[in-house]
Amino acid sequence: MRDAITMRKSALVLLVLGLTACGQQTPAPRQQAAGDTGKTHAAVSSQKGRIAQPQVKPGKAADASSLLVSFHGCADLLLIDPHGHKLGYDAASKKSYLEIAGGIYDEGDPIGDDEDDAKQAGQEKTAGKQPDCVADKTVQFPNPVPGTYTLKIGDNRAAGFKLEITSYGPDAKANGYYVTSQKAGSAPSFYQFELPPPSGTDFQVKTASK
Amino acid sequence: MSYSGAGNEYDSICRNVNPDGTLAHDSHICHNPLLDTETPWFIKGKGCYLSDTAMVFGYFGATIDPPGLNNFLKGRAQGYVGAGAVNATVATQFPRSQNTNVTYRGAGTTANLSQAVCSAGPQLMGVKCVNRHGVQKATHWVLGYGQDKAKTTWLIVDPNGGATTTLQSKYNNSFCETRTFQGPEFTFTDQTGLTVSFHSPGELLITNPAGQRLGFDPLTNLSFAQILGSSYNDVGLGDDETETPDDTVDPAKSLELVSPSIGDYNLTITGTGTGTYNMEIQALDINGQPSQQTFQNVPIAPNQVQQIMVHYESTPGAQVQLAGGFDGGGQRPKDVNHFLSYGNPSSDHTSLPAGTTAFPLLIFYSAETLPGTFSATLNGADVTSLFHPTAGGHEFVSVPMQSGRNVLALSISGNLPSRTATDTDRLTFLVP
Repeated sequence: MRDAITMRKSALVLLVLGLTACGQQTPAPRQQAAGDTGKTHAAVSSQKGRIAQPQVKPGKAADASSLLVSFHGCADLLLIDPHGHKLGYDAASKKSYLEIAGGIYDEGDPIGDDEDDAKQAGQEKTAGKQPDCVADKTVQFPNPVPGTYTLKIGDNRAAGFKLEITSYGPDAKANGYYVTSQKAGSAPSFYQFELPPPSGTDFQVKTASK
Repeated sequence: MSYSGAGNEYDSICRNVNPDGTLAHDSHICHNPLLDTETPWFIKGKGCYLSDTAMVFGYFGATIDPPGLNNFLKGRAQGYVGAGAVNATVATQFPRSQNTNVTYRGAGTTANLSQAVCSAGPQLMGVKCVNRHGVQKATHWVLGYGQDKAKTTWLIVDPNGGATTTLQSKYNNSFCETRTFQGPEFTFTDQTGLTVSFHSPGELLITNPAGQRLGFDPLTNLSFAQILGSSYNDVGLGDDETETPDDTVDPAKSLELVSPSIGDYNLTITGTGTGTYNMEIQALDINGQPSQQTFQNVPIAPNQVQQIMVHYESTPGAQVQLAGGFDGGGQRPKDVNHFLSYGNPSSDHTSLPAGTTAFPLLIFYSAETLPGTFSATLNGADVTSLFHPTAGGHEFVSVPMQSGRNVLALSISGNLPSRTATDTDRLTFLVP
C-alpha cells in the first residue's frame, strides 16, 4: 500500500467500470429522451446501448449466518458438521480437510508484510513468553446447516489454550458466544454444540475427553 | 495518506524492534503501553485484506476507507480474530448499518471465481501462496474485478501500491484462494413489459396510447425516444473479443418498454431493403408471465410500411393481442371491422410497381372470428385456399398479381356480444 490515494481512486474506478469479466462494456452516456420532435438517425445512434431500467426495490437480505472458532494454543482444530463434513487439520492422520462449503482454516498470521515482498507470513500472535508451538487458529464458514457440531482439539494441548466459539445469525450479528481457557494437560478433547443456538438461552457447549 | 503512523495502527498487533534497530516480522498483541522493543503494525503493512474488503463495500455503495473499516472492526467484539485476521462477517455489519446488505460467503473455489465476479461483483483473490499442511494458503490479498478480453489473466486492484494491474504482470497469474462477498439483492416492483425483437431489413417505430413515439422512421430519417423507461437498440450480438457486430449492415433490433401503459400500441415496420423479417412480440403481465406472438419470413421491401396494432394488458394471464393497422373499412359497428385487419396493405387501394407478380398480404383474424366462414376471391375467382384462418391468428399470404386492376374480396363472420356479424373487405391493387 505505497500509494493509498491511488488505491482509493481505484475503488472509484471499480464503481464506474463495473465488471469486465462478463464481456460487459461501459454503457454510452444516456441522453434525455427526445421531446415531441424526432432526432436524426445519426444523432440517436449515439444512444445505442441504452438499456431500459426496470423499477426495483431492495430484496430480503441474504442470510449472513456463520460460525467462527478462534483458538490460541498449540493444538490443531478439526470441526465436524452434522453431515460428517470436516474442516481443519487432523494431526493424527496429518491430513487437512476443507469439506464444509465456504470454510476456511487459518493458523498463525495469515498475512505477510504488504510492504516487504520477500517476507513470508506465519508468525504467531502471542502476548508474552509462550512455547514456540503456540499459534492462533481460526475456523470459519458461512451458513451452517442446523444440527450438532463437534470440535476436536488435537493432542498437543501441553500449553493449554483459549477457545472461543461465536455463532452469527442471519443479520451478521453474534447470537451465541462461548469462551473457555484451559490449563496444560487438563483440557477436554471434544466440544459439542448445536447450531443455530436456541433462542433465549445461553449458547450451550458440552465437553468430553473422548 | 499512506495508512501508516499514528491513527493507522492495524488491529492491536505489534512487531519487535531488533537489537540492530531493524524491524522483525513477527506479530504479537501489543503491550499497553508499548514496550521500547516493539512497534505497531500499520494498515500499510497488514491491511491488504482490510483494504480489499473496504473496496468491495464501496462497490456496493457503502463507502468506507481502510482506516474507517479498521476502526469499525477494532470497536467490535472479534472484529479481528486470531493474528489480525479480518472477521468478514463482522465487517459486513458496516454496510448493513448503511442499509446495504452485503453478505460474506466464505471461501470460494478458484475455478468458480469468474462466475462469482460475474454474478456478485469484485471478489478477493489470495496470492503469494505457501503450503501449509498440504493446503495452499495465501499471504497477500488483492481484489479481482474482471478478466482481460482473452480471458488469460485477471484484472486486479492491488493494495500493495494501490495500482490497477493484472494478475499476470504482478503475480505470474497465480492465485490459490478466494473470499467471496455478495451484494444486495433486489426484487422487481413492476415486472410488466413489452418487447419487440426484430431481425430484418427494416426499422421499428411504436406509438403508445398517449401518442408518444419510440423508434426510427427511415422515411423521414427521424428517431424518437419519447416514452420513458424505454429503449430502441441494435442488439446484434457482436464478437466480444473483436468488438465486431454480427451483422453490420442489417443488425437485429429490439424495442423495450418497461411498465407500459395499458392499451393499443401502433407498431410501424418500414422496410430498408428487400428481404424477409422475423419478429417476436412479447408482453409480460403483472406477475412477469410472458405471452408472445411471432412472425416468420414476412417479405418486406424498401420504404414499404406495415402497421400492426398491439394491445397490451397487464392483468395476470393476459395475452398480447395483435391486429392489423388497417381494418379494411366498411362495416359498422366498429367491432365488426376488426374481424379482418391488415398489417400490409395499409389502405384499400394500393399502387404497385410495374411488373409486380405477387403482393405480400399480412392478414389478422380477430379472436371473435369463425374461421369456417372465411372466403376470399381475387378478380372473382375463389382463392380461399390460399388462406388459413385461425381465431386470434395472423398469417402472411402471397397474393398473385397481374397487370391492371386486382380486386381481392375477403369475408368472415364473427361473434358479437348478442349476435354474429360479417366483415367484408375489398382491397384493390393497381399494377401498371
